[in-house]
Amino acid sequence: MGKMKKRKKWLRSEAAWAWGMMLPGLLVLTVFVFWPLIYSLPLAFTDYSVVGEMKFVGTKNFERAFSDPDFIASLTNSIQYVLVVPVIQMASMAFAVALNQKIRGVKVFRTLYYFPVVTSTVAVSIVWSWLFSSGGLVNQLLLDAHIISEKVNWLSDDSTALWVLMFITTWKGVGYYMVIYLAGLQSIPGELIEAARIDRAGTLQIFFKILVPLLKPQVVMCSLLSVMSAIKVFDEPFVLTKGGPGNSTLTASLYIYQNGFQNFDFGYAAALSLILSVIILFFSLLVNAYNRRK
Amino acid sequence: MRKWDKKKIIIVSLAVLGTAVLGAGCGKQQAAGGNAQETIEFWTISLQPTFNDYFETLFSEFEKENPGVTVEWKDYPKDTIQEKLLTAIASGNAPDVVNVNADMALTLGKKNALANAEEYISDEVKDSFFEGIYEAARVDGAMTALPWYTTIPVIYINEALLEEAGIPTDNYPSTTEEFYNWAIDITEKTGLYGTAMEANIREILGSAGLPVFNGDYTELVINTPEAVKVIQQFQKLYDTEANPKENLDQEARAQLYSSKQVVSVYSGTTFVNKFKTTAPDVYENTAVIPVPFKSNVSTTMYLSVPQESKNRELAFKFAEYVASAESQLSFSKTANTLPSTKATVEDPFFKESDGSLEAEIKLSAVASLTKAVETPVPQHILDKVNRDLQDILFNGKDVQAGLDQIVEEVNKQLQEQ
Amino acid sequence: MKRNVKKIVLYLILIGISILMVGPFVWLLLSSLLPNTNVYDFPNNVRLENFSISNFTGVFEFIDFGSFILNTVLISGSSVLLNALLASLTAYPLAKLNFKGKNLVFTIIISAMIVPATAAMVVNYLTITKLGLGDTYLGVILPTSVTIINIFNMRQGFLSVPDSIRESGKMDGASEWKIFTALVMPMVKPNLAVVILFQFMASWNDFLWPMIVLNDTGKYPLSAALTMLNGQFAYNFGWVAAGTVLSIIPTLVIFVLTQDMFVDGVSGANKG
Repeated sequence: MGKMKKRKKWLRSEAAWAWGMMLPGLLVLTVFVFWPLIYSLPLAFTDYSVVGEMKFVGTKNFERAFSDPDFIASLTNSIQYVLVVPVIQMASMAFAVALNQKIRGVKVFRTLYYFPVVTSTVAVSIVWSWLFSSGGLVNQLLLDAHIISEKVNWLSDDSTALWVLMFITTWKGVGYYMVIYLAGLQSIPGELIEAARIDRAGTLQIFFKILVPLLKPQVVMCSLLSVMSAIKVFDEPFVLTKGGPGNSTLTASLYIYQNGFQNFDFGYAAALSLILSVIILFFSLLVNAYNRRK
Repeated sequence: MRKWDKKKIIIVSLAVLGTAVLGAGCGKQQAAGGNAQETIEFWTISLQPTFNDYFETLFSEFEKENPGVTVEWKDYPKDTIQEKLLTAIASGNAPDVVNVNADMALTLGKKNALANAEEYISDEVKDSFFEGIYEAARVDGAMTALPWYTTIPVIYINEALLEEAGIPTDNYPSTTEEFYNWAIDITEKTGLYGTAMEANIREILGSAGLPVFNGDYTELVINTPEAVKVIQQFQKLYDTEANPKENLDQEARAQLYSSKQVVSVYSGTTFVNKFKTTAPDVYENTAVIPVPFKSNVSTTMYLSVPQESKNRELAFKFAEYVASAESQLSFSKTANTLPSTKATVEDPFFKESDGSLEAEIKLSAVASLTKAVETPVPQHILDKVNRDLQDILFNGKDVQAGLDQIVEEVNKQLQEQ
Repeated sequence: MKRNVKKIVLYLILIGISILMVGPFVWLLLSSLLPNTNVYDFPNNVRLENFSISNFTGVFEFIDFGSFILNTVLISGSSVLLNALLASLTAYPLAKLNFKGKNLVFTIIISAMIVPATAAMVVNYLTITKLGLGDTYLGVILPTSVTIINIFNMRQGFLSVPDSIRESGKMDGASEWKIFTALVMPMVKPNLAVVILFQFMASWNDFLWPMIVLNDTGKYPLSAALTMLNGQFAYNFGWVAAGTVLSIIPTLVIFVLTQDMFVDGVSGANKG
């Protein structure tokens, strides 16, 4: 009797509601996200090619990874790629604030700034590789402006190639985060900014002293997403440079893909993924700690 | 107002979900119906919908000759076929015949995923192919694939640019050395790039008739004295700015050639499609010559039968039929490709020209088909070697030292896997 | 006077950035509208008499655009609906309800985002075929019917809803479900709009997974069908450009439609 009552009470409790509501979502995640993870992790300790037999090899894949100069180079590049995060976040926040005003044509500008997000990477890369080629528009403009004195082979010079890819990533990503910040800005009361204006606060002051702190939940989320996708960057080097010249634009995800899907060496690829995720975890904790301190 | 909105949303949602589920049901029925008779599942790369008519005729004839057999044709783009094949094999749904390139045949062959063709075909069939192309599919003694259609590079030349600079257009180079000097000369006289060749180990060494791998693909052999000499010679094109220091995949070459920054381009027979519509003016002025190198590196499409195929005998019978001299001739006529069968090129089709650029390309290509070599390199190794090779060539680094290092690193990787 | 100068400067900056953002797309658009000209001879090829829509009609003749659009709408539509629904349902308890294991669930979800599953595609394909969903739309949609990013995004929205809303609802005797649907959901409209927008875009552009699951090319979504334009025999840059332009339009329409929701969503809800 008491037991039944207890159960009835639980069914009406918050916990019951919580689990009931989460059930369908968690079910999907379990089958299509957690299960592949659980399945993939042990592969790191095997020699597995999908088409052949699976062999247990202990920590051999990890030993191989740490003495693999290409993998080390790809990790370094992926970590350097994280430098796009502050740039993308600052720019997208600035765009969001600028385009949250009630000015004429603001909707058009928002749509225009969103264009890079919707254009497919393949189409975009055809255009950019053309613009950055030695006879391309970028060189012409910079030569005319006397910023450079001779043509630069942007995508073939190992000192510039990765930076060009980072630029394209930034260009493509800004509109995405701008949308999240725009949505976030809606919960900030307009009176707050008006009040600051009346107090003769400058635009920069309002931006850093009022908006950034109030947007903190969005900043945390976007920085995390941005860090993860920066470290895992794949499309840009895959389409534009295949990792070259040398190893200058080889990123960890590209290298993992080459080992897994091109060489069918899924054991090694799984080990590399695991190492990469430790690095992502480190950066995520860093972002978290940084945001908490602020 | 709001209530109505909600209702509308719910109705639309249910409709969409319902259709999705319905779609699921239909799919299942179809799959069940297919099992009644013998089927050959055949996968190709990027041929639909352009050649639907050709293949429908081809299959119906095979089905007529082999009653009870149905051919199920599926076509996937180049970029996804590898993933699709892998997932299919993993789930036990491997196709019976699949179109692969030599690199993929090598990678899959090394994992013992492909059936040995020579256990199923006659010597007569074996001898019908160009030897260089046929033998390239041999992995550890087993024949992993039968050659199908192929393409080989020719040299595309923008003659208008030559005429502007007063360079003769009737006397083109016929050896590697002449070609390099010709390109360097053009650069000196026009300020444009003389030629555009990719910094690709397969193309550079293959053109000189040199191997990339040892016989059983366990060691890279790109740092032999001969190879070093060939690459040093090639490096001169960069030192003199006669070849762009860029990652010249086909897209990049097409852009440079269309925009008249390079005078000549080394590329396959289908390259013409990359500039025909985007740069009609360049198309008008283009002439074509056979590659003047010792060998000509072909890119052949092969037909493989996965070990997993349930009916290997029938699968090879079908592969043999598709790759036969007769079928290849009709495909060449339809798609303007080159055949891998010796008998096919004897047909008048390969000797006549209607004066179009495409016909000229065909004639130039056929002329050098006898010196075709196929140099398979697993994709991930090719990518790595080319990246490092670019670094050496673009930045003027020492060839011998650079190649030694590549060989050391790659051989170590090959041993470890 | 000073205000006008400020305004002009603001507009100049906005327009300058617009050129950078849209420039590449404009070139693509012009290339699709200028067949039979040298597209690399830009801007010399831009002449009124050169304009033609023949690339677009070419694409329409080459692939059965209408039926592919229908397939895509079906796939993307279901995917968006499922995500909006499941992400909201999953995120709400994680943000607002108290129950044992809440932090654990959230931590597991977030860590799944960090660790990349190398063989995920292979494993998911095996699952889909075992469920008998190979070659079906359900097989295409199900694996991404709720994504972690969307849950994350919805949770962020729910977190910004003040607790007092829930308390006042309880005071009025409303059930959990009533509070969720009638009081809380209208307040997270901006986040919901973002989820709809991003999920539509993701599923509209995804081509690899549909191609893995579907065997019948007739069932392909547009993104997968457009890869047919990239074949070596059929290659025609004008067509690729035209196809890209066409495939972008729906996502832009969705952007324009959702824009009002995520920019003015909250105030609108309050008014209503």
